[in-house]
Amino acid sequence: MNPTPAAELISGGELFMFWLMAVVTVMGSLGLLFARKAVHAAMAMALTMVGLGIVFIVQGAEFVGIIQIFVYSGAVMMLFLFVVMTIGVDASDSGVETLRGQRFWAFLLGALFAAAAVYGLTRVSWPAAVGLAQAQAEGTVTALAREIFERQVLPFEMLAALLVIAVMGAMVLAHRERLLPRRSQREWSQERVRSGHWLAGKPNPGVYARHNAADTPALAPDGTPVEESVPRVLVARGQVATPDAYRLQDPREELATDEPEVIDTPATTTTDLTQTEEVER
Amino acid sequence: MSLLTAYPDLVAALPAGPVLLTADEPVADFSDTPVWLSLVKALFLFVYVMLSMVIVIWFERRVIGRMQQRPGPNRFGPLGILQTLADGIKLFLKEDIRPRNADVVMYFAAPLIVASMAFVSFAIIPLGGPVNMFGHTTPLQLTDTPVAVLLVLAVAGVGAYGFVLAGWSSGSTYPLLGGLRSTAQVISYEIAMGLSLVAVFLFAGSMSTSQIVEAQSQTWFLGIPSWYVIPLFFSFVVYVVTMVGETNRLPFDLAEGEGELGGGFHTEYSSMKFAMFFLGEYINMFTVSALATTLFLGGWHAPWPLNTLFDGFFDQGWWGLLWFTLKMWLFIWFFVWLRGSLPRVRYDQFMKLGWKILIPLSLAWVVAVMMIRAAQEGYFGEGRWSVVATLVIIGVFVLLGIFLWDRAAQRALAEREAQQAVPPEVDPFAQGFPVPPLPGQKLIEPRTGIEAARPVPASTTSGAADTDQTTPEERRG
Amino acid sequence: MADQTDPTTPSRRESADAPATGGPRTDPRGGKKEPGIVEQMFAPVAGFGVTFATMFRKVATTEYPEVKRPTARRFHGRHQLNRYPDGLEKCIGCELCAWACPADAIYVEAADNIPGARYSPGERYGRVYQINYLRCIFCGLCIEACPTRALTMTNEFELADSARAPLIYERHQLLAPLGPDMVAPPFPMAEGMSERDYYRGQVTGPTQEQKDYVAQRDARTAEEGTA
Repeated sequence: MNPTPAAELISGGELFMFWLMAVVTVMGSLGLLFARKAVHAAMAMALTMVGLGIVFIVQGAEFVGIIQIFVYSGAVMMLFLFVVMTIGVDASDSGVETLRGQRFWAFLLGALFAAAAVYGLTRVSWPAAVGLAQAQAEGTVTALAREIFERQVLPFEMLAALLVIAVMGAMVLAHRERLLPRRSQREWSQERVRSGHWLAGKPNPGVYARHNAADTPALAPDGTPVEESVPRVLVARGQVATPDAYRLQDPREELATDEPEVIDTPATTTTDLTQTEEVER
Repeated sequence: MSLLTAYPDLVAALPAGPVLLTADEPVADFSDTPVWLSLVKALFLFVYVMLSMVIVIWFERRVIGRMQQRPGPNRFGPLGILQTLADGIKLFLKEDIRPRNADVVMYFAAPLIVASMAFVSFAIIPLGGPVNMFGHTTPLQLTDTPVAVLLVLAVAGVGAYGFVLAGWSSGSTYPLLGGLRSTAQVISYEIAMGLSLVAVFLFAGSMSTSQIVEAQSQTWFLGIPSWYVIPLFFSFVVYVVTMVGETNRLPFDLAEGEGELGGGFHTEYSSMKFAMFFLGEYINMFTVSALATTLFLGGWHAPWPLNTLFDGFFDQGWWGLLWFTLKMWLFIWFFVWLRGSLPRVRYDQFMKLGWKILIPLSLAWVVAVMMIRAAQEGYFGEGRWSVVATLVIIGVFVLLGIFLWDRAAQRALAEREAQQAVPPEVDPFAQGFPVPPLPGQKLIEPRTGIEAARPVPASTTSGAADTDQTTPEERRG
Repeated sequence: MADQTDPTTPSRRESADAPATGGPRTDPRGGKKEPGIVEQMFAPVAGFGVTFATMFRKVATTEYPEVKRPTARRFHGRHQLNRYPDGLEKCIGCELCAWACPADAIYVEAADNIPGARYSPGERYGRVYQINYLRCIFCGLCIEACPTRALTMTNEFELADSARAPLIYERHQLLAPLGPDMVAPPFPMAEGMSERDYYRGQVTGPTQEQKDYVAQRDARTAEEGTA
């Protein structure tokens, strides 16, 4: 390793930003490990990536920092978040191995790769550090562009090919072949008419004097509630209300219950006929 | 290491082209700007954005009203100016609801992300030239970096988190669907937006906003400035389409389509949190308009005849703020015009537009711009003839592309019509029950059926049925 | 169009002009050429032109309440219980309007016209008459049902309120105001007139006996009031 020129200690704004971003990034990674909900973990990871991006910017690698935020947190983590939100992370994934000997080969190849990486990385000889000012003499983006498109074109193209292959592989894995021809709307409607099942639509939920939400069933002419008038989801959740609570009380029933029970000898009369029935308009 | 850097001679092998006209670094000079002045500028920017926000609500409602031949709000204050204030007070005083199934942390974080990210993008927009503020010469711009425009895109990407988190954390299905749709919309059109900006970067030679504005101030004959809206017209059109898609405005506001998904991702929000989303949407509009002004309409420079008057007096310093504001509000008015004129597109049509039309065309356009720039820089040979030849070749390709597209569309249409060809005359009773005719069909005339029928003898009681030769149509008439 | 009932016109099947498939009649777009790419791209521009031009047109809004447009002659507004020219009410308390109302907005209780208290010619009058304007849909079926033309609708529509009780209009709010010649009931019918004569419009004003009766009645009530 060649000796590097004397480095200066960072100070002032850079020091403050370092400590702030260090705290934020470490908190983010701890959150990723220990968060209870998957979405919280994903957001903590996004926070870590944004923190790293800001650290890159503070150190003068502005393009890399912005791209870190734009691509990593803006696109990659967004995809993670989409998957976690729509499908959800389940701890009950089966631990049964579908490929034979996978564990053995994974260990072996992983160990070989680790050995190769360690060997290669320890033998790297870095060029002499010339300082940021000279490396970015033409401007940060131009310098990076020269590096990518002139000196490291081959690895760049290989990585691009790798990404395209990965995308195509994902498409092939996720693609489903259509076995039967797609049924058109005409065919669907013809089938529905032939089946004769609820052709005119199911009955609507009940409308009562004091309640007309969708959770109370309608009443058939004989007074029994109709099950099909309530949405299936509510039935499955057990959130169906009974219509008795909302029925308009028949005043004769009311008066009948209010009558005091008089235990008397047969000689005394207990009839009460002065109350007239008022018909509710 | 030697393997990785095995081709350093490539650099020497290239023809020694001329040096790029503009460097990478920003033009804006922040050397005379102490920290407190930056804070003052940040405050000024905040006030500017909030003022614009307050005015745009009133402006939109009045202009939309006039486009629909009605006055717009005109009850509170003269011309309805205080309507925004009344709406703000109403939102303040509303009850702040939180659904029981809501994820508390994210439910509170989402509007904060949206609102704060919306403001950050304004940091790199140049509002005017170098001015004298409190004794220091400083550009009317909070900061500038060599990758300033990418900052706006990155911030928009992080702002998209706000939408998806808002939708998910509300704990109900329609907001979740709306949030996912909205975020998918934003990130799809981010790509097309980035591609349309690549052409601008190629022309300006830098991603720094002050550099781009400076590059557009170079004038042609008669002092007409070379704003990028003219040479990069296609990029401008793509950018305008994507900017409407990014801000969830009509015709692309399907994620919050009021008639379809309740309110989309902000269905379950009320009061101040809803106000934050509302704010974020409008400030997003301002951000993309400001970016469009900076990148395509020459930023804060004066429009054509005025920039030549009095030796460029109107083209400097604080005057830049006026021109910038006018141009930005021109885009805002265009947003409102779109809202008043166009219906909402369907989601699959919208995604098809973004991925299948805008991105491939933008890529092709970037390649074309690359060729033009290479010709201008002299990579195809010295002199103007190389530029003209490149332009002609690109023009030929464009016309060929249009011709081929047209031919393919015509062929597809002919195929569709052939499939849907309806027979000219049909028997309405063919399937056993009478059907009305489809558009373009004719039914067999009942009169002709009666005429064609053979007369039935009057005295038929027994043998008539088996000797009846008339067809069912003729019998039915 | 060919007359389908006229047997002499040739049937369309025999006309050789229409082609067998497609063509101007069966083509859904009427045989126009499919627009090219440029036309398709600039098709929305016409729409933009419309909205732009509309910005400069005069606004079509009526600035209510500063400007009020007069209602039509037979506008369905607030109800009114009419009177005969001498002051007796036309409403006989038959409750037909209540039965006709589809929204159940009218409540009527009739009472007999007794000799000291006659409010309408004939046997009965509407003692309680309520119209609930929260239920009324202003359809006018009650007007069509009324047999004596007691119930009509005025042109008044500014009935808005913020509480429920004031929107149930009582009889005294619905009765037509007394005209210049009328006197206030209760008072007996005109001499020799029956209910049918009243209905046929043969009473054109209060008679002297009726006016005297009303004056005496008012004096009596004034005395009782001070006593």
